[in-house]
Amino acid sequence: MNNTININNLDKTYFIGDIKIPALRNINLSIESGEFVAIMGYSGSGKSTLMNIIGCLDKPDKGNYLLDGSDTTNMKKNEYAKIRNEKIGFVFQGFNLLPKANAVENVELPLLYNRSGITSENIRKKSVAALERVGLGDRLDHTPVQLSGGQQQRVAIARALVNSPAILLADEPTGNLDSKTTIDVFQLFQELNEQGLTIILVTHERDFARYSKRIVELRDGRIMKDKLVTDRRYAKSDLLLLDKNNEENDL
Amino acid sequence: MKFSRLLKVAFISIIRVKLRSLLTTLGIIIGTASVIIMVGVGQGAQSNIEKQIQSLGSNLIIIAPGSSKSGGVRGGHGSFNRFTMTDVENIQEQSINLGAISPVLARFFQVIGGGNNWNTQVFGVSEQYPLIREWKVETGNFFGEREIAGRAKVAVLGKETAEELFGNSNPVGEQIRIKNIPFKIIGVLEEKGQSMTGRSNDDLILIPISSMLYRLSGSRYISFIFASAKSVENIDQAQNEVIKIMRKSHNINPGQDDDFMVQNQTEITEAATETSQVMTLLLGAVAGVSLLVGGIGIMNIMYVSVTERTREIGIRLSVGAREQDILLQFLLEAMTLSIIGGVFGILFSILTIYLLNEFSNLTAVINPLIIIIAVLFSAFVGIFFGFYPAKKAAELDPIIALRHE
Ligand SMILES: Nc1ncnc2c1ncn2[C@@H]1O[C@H](COP(=O)(O)OP(=O)(O)OP(=O)(O)O)[C@@H](O)[C@H]1O
Ligand SMILES: [Mg+2]
Repeated sequence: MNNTININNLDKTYFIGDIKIPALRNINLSIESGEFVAIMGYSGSGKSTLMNIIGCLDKPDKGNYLLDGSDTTNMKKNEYAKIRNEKIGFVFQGFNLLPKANAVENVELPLLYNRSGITSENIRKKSVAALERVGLGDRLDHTPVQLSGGQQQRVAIARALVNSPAILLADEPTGNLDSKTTIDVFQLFQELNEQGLTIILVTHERDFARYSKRIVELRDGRIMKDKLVTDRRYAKSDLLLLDKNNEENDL
Repeated sequence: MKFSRLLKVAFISIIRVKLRSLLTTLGIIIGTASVIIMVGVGQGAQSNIEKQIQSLGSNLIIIAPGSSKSGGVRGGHGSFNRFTMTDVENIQEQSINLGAISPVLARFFQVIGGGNNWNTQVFGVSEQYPLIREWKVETGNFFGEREIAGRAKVAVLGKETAEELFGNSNPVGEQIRIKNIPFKIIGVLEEKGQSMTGRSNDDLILIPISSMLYRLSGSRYISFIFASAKSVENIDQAQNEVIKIMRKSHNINPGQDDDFMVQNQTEITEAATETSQVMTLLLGAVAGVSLLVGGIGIMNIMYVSVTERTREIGIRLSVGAREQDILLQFLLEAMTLSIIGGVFGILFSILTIYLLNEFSNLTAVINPLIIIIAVLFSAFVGIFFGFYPAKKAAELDPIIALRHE
């Protein structure tokens, strides 16, 4: 795996009527393959905007974004679609599940648009496996309204992972989860990261950001800090600790 | 996305909004059904007319007195305005393309027979008349050349006339009195049904032309000459030949108008079918408009659907759907809707046509070609009216579509 994200002098400005809203200003960021980056910042600091651009859902106004050395700014729509489908898994802040489709159907979606000629049985198998991985093996045919917020979020994570992407982008993937489930998810992320998956996620909580390897802080669309995590937490041992505490409480 | 998967996605989307899909297809159902029914009724009428004309007899040529050009100034050569037996004989002797020929002189008479009284049309004709009209004798015989030569007092009755006078008993061998002259019944014709003019072809009496002229009418004039060409192929030749013979015997100079009319069956048929074709076309066009309206209904629904499902489109785009995937998905939805509508329209129209034929006096035909055209047209309506909304959906920017509420 050799995916590198290279962002140079990137600007993104929104307009509401005549009012200029600079969402990102002069961003320079490069992320190597195998990194685990947490993006932090106040609400409105531009985290989602940056994630959307990295995820090839949106385009910058200025500057360029190189993915694996090729400039994405001038790519054709279909190349963009291919990157979204094969290279990147995206977990949205608001889940973005199909409301009328059940959990498996939602997870199947990226595979349905895959061009590799995968069979329908394999699509089903992979989707079920992805759901089992996030602990929803018993909720396959539930539609989003029949699932809790946390469960919906995990369906969204399963969907992002189902096509085995090289990069996982997650915009506040644990925002709706209790701390135990959050640590569960981070354990999964750490495990996947160990296997080589590049992860970029947005979180508001410094405690959770410590599960990553590097923290990038945004403020008013600018990168304020970019530091490696020195006091890294490991979800596996946290979970063990949690179990032990629970047992003691039960006694 | 694979085509079969897209089709599945389209199908699921349709199923999820059952009532709306049903209402959408209703426009197409009505449109397709009315096209098929209207054209069916039109063509039914057309084939009725053709059948009636066919009942005149095949290869029929009718020669009637009078000019075909009504406004023309007539020449000063004697009054040949009516035909006599000489005309018949002239044509019979000189023509090579005619198969059969018969003079026709018809008069209404009060006829007495079997203890009953009946007013009917009596035709003086030659022995070849049944050949020309393709009429068959059911019981007894038709008269021959001998009876013609001898001015025989014999008569052949139409089925209805026979029944009116003699009820169900066999009248052959019985006598009837026409203008107080006794005629012997030698045959009864097969039942033939309504003629084009609405008068029954079964209420009539045929007698030898000679008997008609000398015993009943007391004049030497005949009304028409009926003839038949030897084959359909040489009907024009036969017609031209008759015109030539008639012009010569009536001493009509080149440049002068005919003082007679020659019409063949093809011409009569053409005129009648043309009228009914225009009618069919008109009915079809009216029905086509309703199909068009149905198509606009589909476009309307597709628009609503695209707007409503903008988020869905955004989600699909965000996981890697390409523009053409979305385009095809919505196009397939529109097409599926209109084809389902088309199929139900066909079933509905077949049922209606069946009921029309069974329980009304309208005749409607089921034309497979029109059914194929209707299906293709409804698919086309789906593509045509589904394309623009689908294109609009496919060109959405993923992030904009995702933000849509
Ligand atoms: N579609 C848009 N039109 C106009 N302005 C926008 C749009 N999307 C975002 N913005 C503005 O851009 C800025 C950055 O927004 P963004 O969503 O990236 O923030 P964020 O860091 O993700 O916030 P949060 O933590 O609340 O999710 C904000 O000021 C926001 O109001
Ligand atoms: Mg955000």
